[in-house]
Amino acid sequence: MIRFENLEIVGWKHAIRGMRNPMNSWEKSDSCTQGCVWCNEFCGKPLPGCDKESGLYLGPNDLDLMKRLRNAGTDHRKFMRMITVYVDITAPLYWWKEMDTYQVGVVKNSCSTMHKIQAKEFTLEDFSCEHLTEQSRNVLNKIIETLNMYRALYIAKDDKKVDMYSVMSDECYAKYKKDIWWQMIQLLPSSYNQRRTVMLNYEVLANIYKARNIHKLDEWVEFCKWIETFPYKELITG
Amino acid sequence: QFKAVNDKQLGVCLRMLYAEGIQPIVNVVMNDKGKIEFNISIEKDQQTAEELKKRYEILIS
Repeated sequence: MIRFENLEIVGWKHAIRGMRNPMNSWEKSDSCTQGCVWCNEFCGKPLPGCDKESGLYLGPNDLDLMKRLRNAGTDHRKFMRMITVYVDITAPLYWWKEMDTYQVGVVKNSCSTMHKIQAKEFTLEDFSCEHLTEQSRNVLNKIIETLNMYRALYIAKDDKKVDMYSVMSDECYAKYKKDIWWQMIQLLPSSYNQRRTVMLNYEVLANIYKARNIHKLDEWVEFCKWIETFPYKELITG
Repeated sequence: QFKAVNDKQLGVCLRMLYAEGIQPIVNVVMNDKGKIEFNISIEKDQQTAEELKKRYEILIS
C-alpha cells in the first residue's frame, strides 16, 4: 500500500529562466507560470493549452528546448533539478528501505517511530498486508496484539508501585520502561506504514522512473503510475 | 515460573521482578484457544522462584 497526499510542484519559472541563461535566449521564452489564481481570476488572454487547474503552460519554444535538453543527458538538463516536488507519502518500511537509496536532491522528514511508536494503538490498517494469506494474517494479528500489550505497559502512568509495601526505584523503573520500549521497537514488522514528507525533483523522479518502472514491489509500480499523472510527465518518463 | 494472560498480569509480574533486580526471560506463546500468553522465567534458585511465584499469585488474585 502506498498513499500520496499534499502534492505540490514548484519552480517552473526559475527553471525556465535558468535553462535559457547559457544562450541568453530569454526573449524566446513563451511559457506562462503565473499560477492558478492568476489564471482563473486575472488573466485576460488565455493561451490554447492553458491548464487552469495548475496555472502552468509551457509554450512550444520552451517545451521543445526542455525535451532536447532532457534527451541530451543529465549534465545538460539541470533545469529538471530545479523543478521541485513536495509530497506526503505513506508507505511500508520495506518500501522506504529502498526509497532511501535516493539521497542526493531528496529530503525526507518522517514520523518518528523512536519517539512516537506508542502514540496510538496498533491496528491491522497500520500495516501493508494485502498479500498475506489467512495464516500469515493471523500471525500478524498476534504480533499486533503483543505490540498493544507492550504499548499498554509502556504508556501506563503511576505504575511504580509493585504491591502495598514496595515501590520501584527510579533507576529500576527507567530500565523496566526502556526494556518494554525495546520490545515494541524490535518487534515492529517491516510492513508497518510510515508517513514522511518528501522533497524531490524531476531529475530524481526520472532516475526512479527508469529504474523502478517494472518492479516486483506493487508500491514502485504505483509510484511510477503516480509520476505519470504529473504535468509534462514526458520530461520524466522520456 | 510465571504465566501472564493479559497486559495487566504481565505488568504486575515484570514490575515485581524488576523491583527485585531480576531480569526476566519473556516467552510469547499462543494457547490452545489462539490467545496470546506470556510465559516468564527467571534464573534464580528454586526457593526464591517459589517465593516470588506465591507473591505473584497473590498480586494477580
